[in-house]
Amino acid sequence: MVFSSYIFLFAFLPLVLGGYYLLSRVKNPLWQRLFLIGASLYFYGYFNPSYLVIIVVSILANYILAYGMSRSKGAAGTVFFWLGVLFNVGLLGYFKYRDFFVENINALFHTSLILKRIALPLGISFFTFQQLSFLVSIRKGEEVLERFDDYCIFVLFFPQLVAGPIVLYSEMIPQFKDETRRYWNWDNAAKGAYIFAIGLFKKAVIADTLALFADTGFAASSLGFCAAWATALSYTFQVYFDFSGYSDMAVGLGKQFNIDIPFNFRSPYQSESIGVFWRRWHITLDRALQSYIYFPLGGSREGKLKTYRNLLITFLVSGLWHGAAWTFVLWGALHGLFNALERVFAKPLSKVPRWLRVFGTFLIVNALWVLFRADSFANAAMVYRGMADVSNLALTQVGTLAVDGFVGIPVVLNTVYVLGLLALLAFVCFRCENSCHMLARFTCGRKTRIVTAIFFCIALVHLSRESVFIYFNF
Amino acid sequence: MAKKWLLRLLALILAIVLLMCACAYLVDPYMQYRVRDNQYLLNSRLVTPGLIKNYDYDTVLIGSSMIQNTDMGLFREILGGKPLKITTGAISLTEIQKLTEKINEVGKAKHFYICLDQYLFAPEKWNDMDRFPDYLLDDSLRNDYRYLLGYETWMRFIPIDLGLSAAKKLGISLPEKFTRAMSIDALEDWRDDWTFGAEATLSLYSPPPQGTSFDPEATLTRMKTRFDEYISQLDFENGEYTFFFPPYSALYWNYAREAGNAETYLAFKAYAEGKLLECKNVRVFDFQNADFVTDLDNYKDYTHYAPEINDRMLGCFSSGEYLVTAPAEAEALIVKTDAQVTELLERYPQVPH
Repeated sequence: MVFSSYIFLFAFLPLVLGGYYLLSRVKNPLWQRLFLIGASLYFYGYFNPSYLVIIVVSILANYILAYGMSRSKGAAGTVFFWLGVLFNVGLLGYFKYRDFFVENINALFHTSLILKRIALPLGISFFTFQQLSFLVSIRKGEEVLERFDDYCIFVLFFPQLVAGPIVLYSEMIPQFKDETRRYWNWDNAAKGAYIFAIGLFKKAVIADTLALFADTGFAASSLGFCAAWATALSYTFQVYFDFSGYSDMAVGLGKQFNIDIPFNFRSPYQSESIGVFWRRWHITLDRALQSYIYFPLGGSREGKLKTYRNLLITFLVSGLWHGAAWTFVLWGALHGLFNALERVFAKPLSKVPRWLRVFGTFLIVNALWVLFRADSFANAAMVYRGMADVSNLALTQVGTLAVDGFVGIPVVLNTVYVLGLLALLAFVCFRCENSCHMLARFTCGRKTRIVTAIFFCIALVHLSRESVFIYFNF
Repeated sequence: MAKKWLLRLLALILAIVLLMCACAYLVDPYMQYRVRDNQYLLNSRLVTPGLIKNYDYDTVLIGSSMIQNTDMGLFREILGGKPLKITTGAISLTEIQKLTEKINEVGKAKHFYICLDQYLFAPEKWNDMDRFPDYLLDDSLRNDYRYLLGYETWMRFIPIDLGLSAAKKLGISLPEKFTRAMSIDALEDWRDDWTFGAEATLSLYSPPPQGTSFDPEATLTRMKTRFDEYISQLDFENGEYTFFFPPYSALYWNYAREAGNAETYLAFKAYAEGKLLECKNVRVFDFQNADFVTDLDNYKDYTHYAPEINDRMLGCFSSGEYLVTAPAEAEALIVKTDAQVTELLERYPQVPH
């Protein structure tokens, strides 16, 4: 189920909230938790019930292995841990990377092994990564395995199930166990509604509008300079508003259940370096990659060269985590490379004015998103060629990016529309407050009420062109 | 404080939503509740369900872009009745079936003029229903929110329609292209958008791509099955049906011959004509071997003909010219078509073949 859909907003959410708080009248909190687990399973299986088997098997296996780890000492605990790593990597490998692997074997050795074309189960990278990180925490002694229903709610809690944020056991379960959080809280409900409406607006209104421009641009056979830049920028803003919109909605929904879910974004396009960008973009993934890849490799403690190597490896993993294609691998590798280069040239870069560094970082991030979005290297090359083709500065192709086939709006008007929207969004991304600041400053006043109502109603109109979130595919 | 804020927020949202629904109901850009001719910009896919429900008609002309330039005033003059055009560009068989089902349910139509494009029945798979507005076709009020609060309704048509109404009220004269796009009679009329003539037609022509596979037997079987299924939906007892095969140019048949599907399509036509002539209250016209199909001045590309041909077809419906009186043999159709292709190639030696 998608947050930005009628069924979620007008049926699922009210029913689940109603049921959850009705059960708060029962003394034993287990019933509330079981209800939420059931609702989350329904939420997950709504598109494809067969995915339920995968997630249930994954939860059972991880819980059993974690149980084994916490009950065993020495070698047996290590065996359970590595079995867990093998299981999770195997699960992800089979569903996400099998065809990628087979395609490369076929290309390298001229074999014709059959591709399975398995549909990627929703959010498999998120819940697998979250559970793997839990096993690591158990092994390190940072977490203690508790009841099965606690574990289920940690993995399944629907606001963060399919596209994160990637939460830690220790930041979620104590909240669910807090007796005071079991009951309806008007303050949290108001804050939740406010931040949810902002997220819904970001996704349904902004990101889905930009999706049309980006999809049309990437589907073209060639692009002129202006259209190529408009296409790249459209995707750069689309992916940000899509994913941060989802994360805002997750935070808002968490609030409705009195659960604080961490923010995943802090104005990433205002970053003055790639390193800073990754501390502001998909923050919980960056946190997990640091904890489970970068630091175990040695982090920055073993000399400069090893630090660069560790950065590259971490970003290669990040690229592969995002998608099973060489375009993602290269995208990750280039982020790692730029991150390392920033460290090499740290001194001279520190003398460059901040605004110029922010602008440069944005240009690099924008250029790399092309690789991330493209279906293939050839597709990315087509957009890059356009972005470099200063001999073709015609603006008319920009207008065609917004053609949706319903109304024959003149190209000139569409051009103004596309460029105006991109300029406005650039202003929002570079100059405006982000959602976490807005939530921190939230007060129950008339202004916030009107903003929330207007954002919600405009988003409501955009729901009829239902679409899924970009990060559902990861 | 938060309680009051949240309750007032819900009340405000409810008030805005109700206001929007009322506004969309009053403007009614897709004519779901009432018909307003020459007032709004019309999109055939979105307004056709409303027209079927609310327009005053007793005759329907159903088809693809082949019928879109039909002059409905001339239709009334020559054939009488109260006709309504039922069309979308590249309409699919599923769309035709859904719309026909609704026309039958409404029960206003007594005369049916149906354009039988061969392409309707051929595709192996047609991903055609993505944008079909099912929620506009039914009579249920439960899904009207998708229209009253819909994206296209609010982000496209209401602003444009209100703008057009304001322009009219202010006495601003709109370009003819706009006024035509607001006329129900001229729904999807594209005559002003293209240049007709042999030069334009030939400039748009390219031979079929090499190496595409075509299975004649499977295609013919599929076409026959779909056709049988389609005509089983029609109520021949309670209506008069005029089917017609539209006059693609001989250049199209040259293309089809080179693509290897001409014989299949002609065999299908022979089958369909035979089947239709067995039915009660049915007339069949075949314009595909008409004398004008070898003259590319009548076309804008190898299938789409000029509005004058639409006019001429109306005359034929009245006079009976090109009426099929006996089922044709596929072989005879192939011979006739081959002769026309030969004539075309002699007339336009520049056609690549």
